[in-house]
Amino acid sequence: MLPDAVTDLQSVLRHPAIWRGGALVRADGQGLPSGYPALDAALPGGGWPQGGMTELVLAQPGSGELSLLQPALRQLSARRHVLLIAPPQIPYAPAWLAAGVVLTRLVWVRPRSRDEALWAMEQGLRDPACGGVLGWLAGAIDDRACRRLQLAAQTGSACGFLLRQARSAAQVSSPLALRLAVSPAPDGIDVRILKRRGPPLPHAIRLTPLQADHALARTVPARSAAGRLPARRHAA
Amino acid sequence: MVESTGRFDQVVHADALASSLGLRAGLKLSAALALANQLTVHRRQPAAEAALLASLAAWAQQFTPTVALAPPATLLLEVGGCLRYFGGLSSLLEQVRAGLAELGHAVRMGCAPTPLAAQWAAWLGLPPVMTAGDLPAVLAAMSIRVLQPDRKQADGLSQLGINTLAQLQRLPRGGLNKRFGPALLLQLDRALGKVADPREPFVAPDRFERCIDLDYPFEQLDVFLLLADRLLAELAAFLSGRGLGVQAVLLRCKHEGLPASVLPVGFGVPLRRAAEMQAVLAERAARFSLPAPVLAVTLLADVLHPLDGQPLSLFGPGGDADGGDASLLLARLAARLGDDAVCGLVAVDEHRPELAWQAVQPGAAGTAQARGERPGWLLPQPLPLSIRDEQPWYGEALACIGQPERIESGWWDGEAVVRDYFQARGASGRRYWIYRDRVSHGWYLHGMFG
Repeated sequence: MLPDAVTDLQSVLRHPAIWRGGALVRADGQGLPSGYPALDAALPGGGWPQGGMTELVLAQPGSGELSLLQPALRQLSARRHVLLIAPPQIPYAPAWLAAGVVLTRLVWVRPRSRDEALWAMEQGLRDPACGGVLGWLAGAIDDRACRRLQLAAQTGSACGFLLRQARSAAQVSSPLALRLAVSPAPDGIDVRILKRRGPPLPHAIRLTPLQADHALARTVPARSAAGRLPARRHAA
Repeated sequence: MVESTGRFDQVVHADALASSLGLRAGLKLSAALALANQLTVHRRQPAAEAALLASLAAWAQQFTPTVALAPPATLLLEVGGCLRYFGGLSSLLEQVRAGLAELGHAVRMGCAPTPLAAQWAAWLGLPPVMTAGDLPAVLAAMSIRVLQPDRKQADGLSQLGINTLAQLQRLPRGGLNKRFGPALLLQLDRALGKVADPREPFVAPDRFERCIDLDYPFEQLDVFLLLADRLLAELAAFLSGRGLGVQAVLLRCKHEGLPASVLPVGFGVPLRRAAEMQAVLAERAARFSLPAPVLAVTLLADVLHPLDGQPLSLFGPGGDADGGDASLLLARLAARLGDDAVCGLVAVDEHRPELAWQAVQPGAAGTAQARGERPGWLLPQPLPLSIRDEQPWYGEALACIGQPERIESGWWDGEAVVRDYFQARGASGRRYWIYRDRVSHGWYLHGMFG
């Protein structure tokens, strides 16, 4: 009797309508692999939400956000356009090219105001030709704008990233369902999940870029490439 | 509706209400005003009518390559060769009717083996005549008025008691030619197909220009958009007939006492559908204001691009999930934010880091290869760094890691660069791209690895 009851319970628990507190919410769709297995395991859907917004909180530009996003941008730009809206500095083309991003599908948008930036993000997310939108917004963002972005991302099934600058993650808030704080670490990036659909994750995830970049995808620094050339010739 | 006949104004058309008051075509305007003194009188505009007929002829070329104008208000389409393509005559007629209704025009159609007979059938509203064998019987029943005799001829014919073409045909030709001139019978012969009736095919112009003149000036942007949408719909009709697309258009507003204001609208790619053009225009108009009341709006499209024969995506632009045509999205963004606010990036083959990239038109491809390890963010201007404890300082002490990369270039164009670039790491773990100028020996921050 007892084993039967256990299997019955388990089959009941597998029902999609039942959610247990310790488990991640089943995402609506498959997530876009972030390139970091440790991070994918912590994200609902196993990656960045496709058709949803992700918020990244940074202390300042250059906090590891590009290493974190580049594997995703590489996949997105291979098929669809990616918009960079109001980035804090010049996106340096040689580096993005080296990271494997398809530059012809990368569009740099420089709006003159916050409203224009939000409008451009919404347009990009809504358009099926656009796979990813990265928007840098300063200051507070109201619930209505967040909902509009979320809806637009669902309509266009695009990956939306909202990058916000704040001294500490506690200073900014938003109703978005997935919020991450990104900070640099001596040997990589620390990602703290501030909010997700699932149980809270108290500790930060340490990601090292080597984890993401396979030897084949990674570009060789000029110096080491120059140093290796004679050895290759010798081997041949 | 009145037109001037030289000495006096003549009524050419009266609506139902006016007709009920006894007005009819041919009446003098003064007589009409005597019948009803609250008439709304519109003057006929022959030039505008001719332009409209020409634009409709261009539109009609989507159905057949051979279109001929028969002024003032008739178009002749040679459809014998394209009936099968459009699924039969009734389907073709329905498509023409629906297309014209979309443009806001009503149409009366006739169909016959000869152009003149078709024209008459349309005037009289007769059912289609499909074979040359049926033609004499149909023509015989027609009123003599289709020949458009002048007043003298009409009087003569009615005195002879001739009311239908059949009666005319029964009379001896020699006598008729003597009395009424050869033109009358020539028309009949042409309609019957006994005599050739050559028509000059319509050749559409290589540019599009349409103007809407208004009786009252307006100031509201909404009205302007409404008129512009209408003009774009006409442009779309013109383009679809020719198999062309348009990449940029110009809207010109005429003001009283001020130079015309001009609104250029770029679409990024050649387009033909009115809805797509209207969407871009709506964004562009957000940055546009009317300086003064507008008297007339003109739409100009000077450069037309071939569009037919090029692969169009199955689900229309933007519907292609793989690859994706973002040009409409980019055009919308550029229309709202300004042309220079939307750009693409290319890497350039150049040693100097600040010249190794370029902002270009979105989608333009560069040829340069990746070289060395470069930071994802570049500062617009190198930032001089202060020195603390013999280390460059940017919010934190920066420790150089690895070997320097020496870049010396540009001595030939006056922007010489003599620098040693380092990757540097701060205590926080951030990585920076800094260099030491080998002329001034100062330290500069040039980029950040994100």
